[in-house]
Amino acid sequence: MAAETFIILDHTPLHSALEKIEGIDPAPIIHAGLVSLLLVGLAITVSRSYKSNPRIHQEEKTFTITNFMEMIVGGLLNFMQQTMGDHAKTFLPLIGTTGIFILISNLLGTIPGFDPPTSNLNTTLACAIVIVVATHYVGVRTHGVKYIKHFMGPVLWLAPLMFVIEVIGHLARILSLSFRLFGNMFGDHMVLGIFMGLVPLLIPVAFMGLGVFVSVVQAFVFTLLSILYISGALEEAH
Amino acid sequence: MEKLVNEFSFGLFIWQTVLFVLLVLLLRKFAWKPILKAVNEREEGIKNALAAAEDAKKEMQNVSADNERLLKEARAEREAMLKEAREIREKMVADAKVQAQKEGDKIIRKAQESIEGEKKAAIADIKNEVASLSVEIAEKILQAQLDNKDKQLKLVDQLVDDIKLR
Amino acid sequence: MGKPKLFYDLLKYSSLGLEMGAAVVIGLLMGIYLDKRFETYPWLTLLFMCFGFVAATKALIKALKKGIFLEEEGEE
Repeated sequence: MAAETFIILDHTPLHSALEKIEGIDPAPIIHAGLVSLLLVGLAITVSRSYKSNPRIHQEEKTFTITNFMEMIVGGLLNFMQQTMGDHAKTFLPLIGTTGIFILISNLLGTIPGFDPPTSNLNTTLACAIVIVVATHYVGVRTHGVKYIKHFMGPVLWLAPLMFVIEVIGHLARILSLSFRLFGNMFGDHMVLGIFMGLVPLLIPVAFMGLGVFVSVVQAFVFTLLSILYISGALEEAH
Repeated sequence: MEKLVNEFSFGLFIWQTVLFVLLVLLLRKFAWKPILKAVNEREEGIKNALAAAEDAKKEMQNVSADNERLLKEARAEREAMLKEAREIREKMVADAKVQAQKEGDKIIRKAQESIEGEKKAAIADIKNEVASLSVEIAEKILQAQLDNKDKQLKLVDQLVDDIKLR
Repeated sequence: MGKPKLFYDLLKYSSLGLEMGAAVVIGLLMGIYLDKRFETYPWLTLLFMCFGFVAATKALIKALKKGIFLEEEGEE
């Protein structure tokens, strides 16, 4: 792993416990858990603000977390409605969670001392798998048995061949989705760590800015590709 | 590349997946549903407000159209009433004219008739008078000439023939 | 409306390269695994590598066919 010197969560009791049970490096889980806790806390804050004041309108100019979240949700929903129309609201929880989880995970890497969970292949693979499984679940649910037509070519006798090829294509999607995020974050974090070790002053700040940029872009790319894949499964086979 | 691929560990992967699915479910319950609800409500509110505004606009248009229509109707009605009145007046005048004509004709005819009657009566009177006068004259003349009855009659006939009115 | 579509298409095309590479790699890995399993080296490796190539080409064709942006460019 990169930048071992900056991982501060490596020596917690939870860490050693996990290490004993699994025989694996638990740092990504702990970091991901941290991000998850943060997000759940945020979620509870938001839902509580709704409970205390069910009608919050955007006309209120004061900046609250709820307003901010609503702004994000509005933008995301708009983006989703471009490709999947009415289905957008159904898939908002999945896509939104993926997006915000990855964004916060990525941004965690720019804070010195933390590893972004997304700089571990297993985390990104988990996200990609969840998205792809959801994609196919959605496909089966909307099209039923006909969904298999997505995997068959236009010619019947070529169907088994096409099936293998399509499966390869879908596996490639998982791979490319997870590897893109993982590679970018890993590389970014590595560069940041190296420069942090070399020149501890000023220059890392520039790389941190770059890190923030890469984090946002990669989270965005992952989210939009997820939207594309799901809307692809929603379409009719051609 | 080898190193990166080796980083894959099944246990870690499973853990992360479970964690991520849990996170999705939790956030769905706590964050997305309420936010989505709020966003929906707001959209609904905006839509409703727009619809209400549209309705109000339509109502206004209806009202003004109604007004316009009423005004037009009233104008048309007035027009019709005026026309009717004029017609009635003209008819009355015409009727009166005809009536007067008739009345006048009737009076004239009556007058003519009575004149005619009177004239006839007068003529009859005159005839009678003339006859009696003639008889008297004849008697007087005959008293003077009693001798000849035949002559007498002859004379009378001659006289009567002479007196014959036109 | 046009902007997000352009966005999606740019994203699709930029992600195409990695997807194509990944398709070949996946085909290769499947082939190697199956060859080990059935001891038919090198035939299945070659075959599945070809499948991987076909899958990559298919992804390319699909992306080009569905390019909303490219389609609409002529109209607008």
